[in-house]
Amino acid sequence: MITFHGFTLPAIICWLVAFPGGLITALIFFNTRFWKNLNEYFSEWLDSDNEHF
Amino acid sequence: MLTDTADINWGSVSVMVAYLILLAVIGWFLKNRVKSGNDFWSGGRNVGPVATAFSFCAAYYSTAAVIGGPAIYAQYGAGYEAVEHIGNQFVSCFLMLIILGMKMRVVSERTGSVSLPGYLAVRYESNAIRMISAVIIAVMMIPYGVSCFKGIGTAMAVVAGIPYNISIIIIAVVALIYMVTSGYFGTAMIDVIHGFFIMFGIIALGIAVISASGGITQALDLGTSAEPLLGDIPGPLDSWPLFLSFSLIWAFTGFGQPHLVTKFFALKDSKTISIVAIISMIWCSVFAVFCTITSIGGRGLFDGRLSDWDMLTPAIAYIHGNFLIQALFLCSVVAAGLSTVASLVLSAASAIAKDLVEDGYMAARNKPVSNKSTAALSRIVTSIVILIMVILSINPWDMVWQLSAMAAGTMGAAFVAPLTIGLYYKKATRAGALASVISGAVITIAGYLIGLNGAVHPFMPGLIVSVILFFSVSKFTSKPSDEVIAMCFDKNWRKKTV
Repeated sequence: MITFHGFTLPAIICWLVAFPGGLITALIFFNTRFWKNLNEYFSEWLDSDNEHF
Repeated sequence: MLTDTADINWGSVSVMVAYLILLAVIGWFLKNRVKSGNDFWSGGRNVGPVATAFSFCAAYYSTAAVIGGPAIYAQYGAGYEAVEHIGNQFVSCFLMLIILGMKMRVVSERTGSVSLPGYLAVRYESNAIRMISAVIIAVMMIPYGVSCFKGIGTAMAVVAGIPYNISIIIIAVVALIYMVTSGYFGTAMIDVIHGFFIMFGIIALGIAVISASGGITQALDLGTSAEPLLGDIPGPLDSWPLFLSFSLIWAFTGFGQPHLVTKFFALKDSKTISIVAIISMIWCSVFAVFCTITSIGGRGLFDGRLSDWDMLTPAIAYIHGNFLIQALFLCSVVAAGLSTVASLVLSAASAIAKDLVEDGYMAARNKPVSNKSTAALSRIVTSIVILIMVILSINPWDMVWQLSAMAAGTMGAAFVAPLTIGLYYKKATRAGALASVISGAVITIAGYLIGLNGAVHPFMPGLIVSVILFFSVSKFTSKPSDEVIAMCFDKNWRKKTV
């Protein structure tokens, strides 16, 4: 079995998915049109007339 | 070898005392931000994304982060930690913020909610669900907080040599000063400092391990030589159901943890969720990398030398750390414990003060409470909750430890469906939500009591039953009112129209 300093391939793959995979996914996602649409959608839910408390 | 108490380490103690004084001073200066109960519980919905991100991470990682976490990874391996970290990164810091955070922020403002039971009561038009949720939170959060106090007290006794009971009282006094004076806003600001110190602490431990082992790869080699399965999955656990359910549990229970969900209530703006997510993910990544080096390298350094793996990080700091590493470790334990204690205290106290007393008892008797009175009530109840935690930390009952072990799983199973699914499922009904909360809590507690956690985490069956009942009971019971549907699902709804 392929190992790197005692780490097997499945464990290494899990680590690469976790780090830096998670961070790269987030950075890509937050630059997509989908995220901008999501922001615009939720920004319409509240306005200054909607006083709370 | 380490003992339960050491001689007083004056250098580390001085740094820690300076740290605690700083926290109390910041809390005191922020006291004017609290003018009502709502300001106290949700920071006036004016907490920025940086403070929210650090507050979220610091509450998510309790003392377990710097004591229990490395102890578990040293036994279950780097593969276990990698999968747990995938859950933390993709589920807790990414999906949770998108699925739950954004909508929860806007809906909590529309419903005027500052606590999880308060939101559920409006969403499902039920005072019963408010009361049941508040009781579950109060009963589970207090023992959970006691276990955090115990973690801080034990670490302070081992590393700094301060007697356990005195450690608990010192921490409680500091928590009392900054939480009671500045409420959620001050707590969130202080969590930024806590967040940095938790990170500094784990980095310091990692550096101590690297230094003692002779390098990063040597540290990993040392650990995998001591236990070859540490570098594999499922590794030493040798069971996929146990491996997956235990490593991923925290990520999924997060969707139902009151002390995490209420962070979104207080966020200044739903659009800043992306900043919260990116900061949280960077924080978690740095933490995870150094935690792996600490736990795997630490296993190699201390294999066969510790009777209790919870002593791993104190042992690394005490034996392989210099004055600076010991001081940073001590501050990180205090930071990790205090940040979680603060979130737990605020959740438990809001359940009692806001939901049971103010919106439950007083509202039922048509006794309106002024802003000044709600702020005073919030402070009094918060003080009482801290006092109860201190008494139970010094004189613990066996039941307290049992409840603290069950807390996260039970609240997760009880609240995930009515809270998260109910945000998007219009047909969810009062009866469905009640069935879901009760069944989730009861099945999870029963799972712990019958010893199900030897095969699978009891949160899993609790959650499955809770979700099934949520949908099936909702299908056959009367639908929520049009007002609630509009308030929670129509983006054009405005308060004046109701």
